[in-house]
Amino acid sequence: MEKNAVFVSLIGKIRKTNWGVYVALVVECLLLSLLSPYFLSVNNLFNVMKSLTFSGITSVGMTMLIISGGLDLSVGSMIGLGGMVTAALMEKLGVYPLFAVIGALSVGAFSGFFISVIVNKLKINSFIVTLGMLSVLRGFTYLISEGSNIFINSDAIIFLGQGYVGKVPFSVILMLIIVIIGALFLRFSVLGRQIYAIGGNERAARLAGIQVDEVRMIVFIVTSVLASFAGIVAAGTLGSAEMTAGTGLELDVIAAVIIGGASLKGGKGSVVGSLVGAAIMGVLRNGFILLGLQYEAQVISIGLVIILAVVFDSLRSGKR
Amino acid sequence: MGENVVLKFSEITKHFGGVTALNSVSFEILKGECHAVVGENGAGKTTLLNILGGDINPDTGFLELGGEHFDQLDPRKSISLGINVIHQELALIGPLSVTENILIENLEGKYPGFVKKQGKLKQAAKRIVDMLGCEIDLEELVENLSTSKKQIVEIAKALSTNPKILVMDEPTSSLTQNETENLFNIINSLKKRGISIIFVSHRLNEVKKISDRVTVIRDGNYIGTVKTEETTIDAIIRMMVGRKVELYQKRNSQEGENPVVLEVQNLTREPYFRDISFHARGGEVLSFSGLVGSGRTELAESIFGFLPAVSGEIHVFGKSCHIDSPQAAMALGIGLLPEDRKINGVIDTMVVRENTSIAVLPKLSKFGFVNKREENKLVKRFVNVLNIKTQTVEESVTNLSGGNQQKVILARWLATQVKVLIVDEPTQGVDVGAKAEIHKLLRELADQGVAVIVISSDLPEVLSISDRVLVMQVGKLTGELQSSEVSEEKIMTLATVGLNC
Repeated sequence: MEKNAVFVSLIGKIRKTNWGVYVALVVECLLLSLLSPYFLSVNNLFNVMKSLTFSGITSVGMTMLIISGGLDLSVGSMIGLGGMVTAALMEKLGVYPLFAVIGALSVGAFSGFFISVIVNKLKINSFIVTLGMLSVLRGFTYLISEGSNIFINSDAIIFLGQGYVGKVPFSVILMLIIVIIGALFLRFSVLGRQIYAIGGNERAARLAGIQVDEVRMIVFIVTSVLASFAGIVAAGTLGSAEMTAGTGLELDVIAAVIIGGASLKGGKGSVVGSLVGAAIMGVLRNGFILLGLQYEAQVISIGLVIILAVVFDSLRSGKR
Repeated sequence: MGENVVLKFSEITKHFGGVTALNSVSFEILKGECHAVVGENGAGKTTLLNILGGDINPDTGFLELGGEHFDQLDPRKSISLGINVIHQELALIGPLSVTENILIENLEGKYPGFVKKQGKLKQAAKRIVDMLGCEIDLEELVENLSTSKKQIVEIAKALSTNPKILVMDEPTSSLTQNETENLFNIINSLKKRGISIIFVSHRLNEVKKISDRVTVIRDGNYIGTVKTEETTIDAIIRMMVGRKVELYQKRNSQEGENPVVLEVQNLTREPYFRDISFHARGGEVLSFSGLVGSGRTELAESIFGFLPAVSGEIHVFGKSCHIDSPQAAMALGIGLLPEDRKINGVIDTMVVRENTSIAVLPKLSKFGFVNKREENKLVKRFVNVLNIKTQTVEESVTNLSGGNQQKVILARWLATQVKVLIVDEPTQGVDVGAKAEIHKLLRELADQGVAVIVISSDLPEVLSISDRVLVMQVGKLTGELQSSEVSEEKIMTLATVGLNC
């Protein structure tokens, strides 16, 4: 009987791991390596990974948020604001880079806190609240920029975005560290389990003694802080904080999380899956560039991929 | 097919993967009879109902109606053949009115694509609702109705399709005594009009009252059909379970001298309950009885801090406490096993292990990380003690039967080592075998010194497990009965003193 039990739980685990995503990524890479001789070069692969870092870092927070049943449409704007706050603090107020970074992350924390208060106390859907914050944060970005992009003069910040450790881009290392920490946290910590519970059945979670409001607040804060950090890395990568940085990135991030196996209803998802989801889209974009396809085709195709992912996901979770 | 036979199940077989849900089930439904189908959870009743309703189709076998064989149905076809299934989970549309829900299939008027005039709709709906003999505001949005009223709307909706066979799945689970009587009257009048009723229920005393014949299904197999008046509840249980089950034995005790664990004084939360004062001792089972809507659930939720009371006092072990959240209640050793486990208890995206350990995770962790070994040990222990039937603890909790899911939620609370456990309708939708087990577990819990408070509308259940019974009516306590003096009549009297419908 015990052997049977082990077998059943293994089957369950295999069925649960959305192997479809990994297969999709592998197939995609295989296809591209056949279609373009440049795809598999070390340079190109690292470029792809570099392009992933902003959505990759942000997706760690977004994954937790979506698992808990929430959504944050303002992360793209926060990416812009994070970089801009950092640059402005350094250039306009002469603040040291370290404190500028802390300042930007604090702005992120406050934004997340603010969103959570409105969602928790006023019971307003996070979709609507963060839709509004999308504009608010972007507005603040323009305000602080005073109309022009701000150069990053700090070597440390530049290193965040452009530095290398050996052959590996530093930003990729940062992303992987954050992903690993996020994954371990979600899977093995008490708080992580509670996040899954809240997304699965909020009422039952509350009745089981979980402090839903507090957990939600933590998740919103983490999401915004990570987005802000991604914005700092982005500014470092470009060498300047752009007013428009991160525009539209929230959709990429949400798509990556859904492709990775999360459900918009909550209760399901994984950080690693989201990274694979981001990779699938990043590889796709890379493929378009390598094959010289039009930008318009890119935009349409990315949209189709997102639709396909959601369809495949709902088919996989079976008839409900 | 015999003259009198309106529907025949012919060797219906259905497999789900490796599990045989129904194994060559054959029996007949006669015209104008009330035919009960009983069986433990997991016996195959739900599968049978789903086949009738056209939601799934049998692997082999067929249904025979009016001389024709049907092995492939869909919901629309099923209704057009005169089969209407009313499921236990009501299928109403919340934001629409009672009238619109009742006539949802029949909204089109003279002009195709346009809805009938409001007045005509109301008339048609009123006719059906009057037949059911209860007061419902036809304009009210269904989502604002109580569960019992929603059920009545569901039945009215079924009646509007002029069914030949009406299938009711646990129809009385949320009905008051009076409403159940009404339902039985309707069933009888439907029978007189030649409509057959298939009545699926766990409440065997009701089955005995209303049905003409009873069919028993066990583990997917057809066990037998008996004439209701020629059999006894014990005999039916034996057929269902294959063994003798001591379900209801009466307790006979006076209130003991155990320490008072919970004392409640003048607890009030308008409009749900007011001025509630009582005490609960360790080692006893205290039941709260009363009609649906008497405020018992809200009282429990207040004591548990989920919906804190506005005024009044709560004392735990003699100390005055301010309970403003479930965490505060849990810290004091109070637990609540809520009613409606699907909505309030079961986290369906999680497995058995996770559902069991969720309330006690902090105690199983180090530095915020869950100790998997401790968790597994704890969960396996409770699966054993509570006899939870599951292949492994990694099984998705939704694969378990209702009774076993309920045991999982019970395990969740036992794991927190409660001193006071409030259980709200603990055997709702649970089969006979698991019901007896849960009763035994609650008694054993009390014997360990826990103050067990049971909220239940199941009078035989209340009688058999309680040491004391408190009765509530519309938010007030109307009386207290010791187990030595309690009876169904006395409880009902206290529950309905001064009430109509």
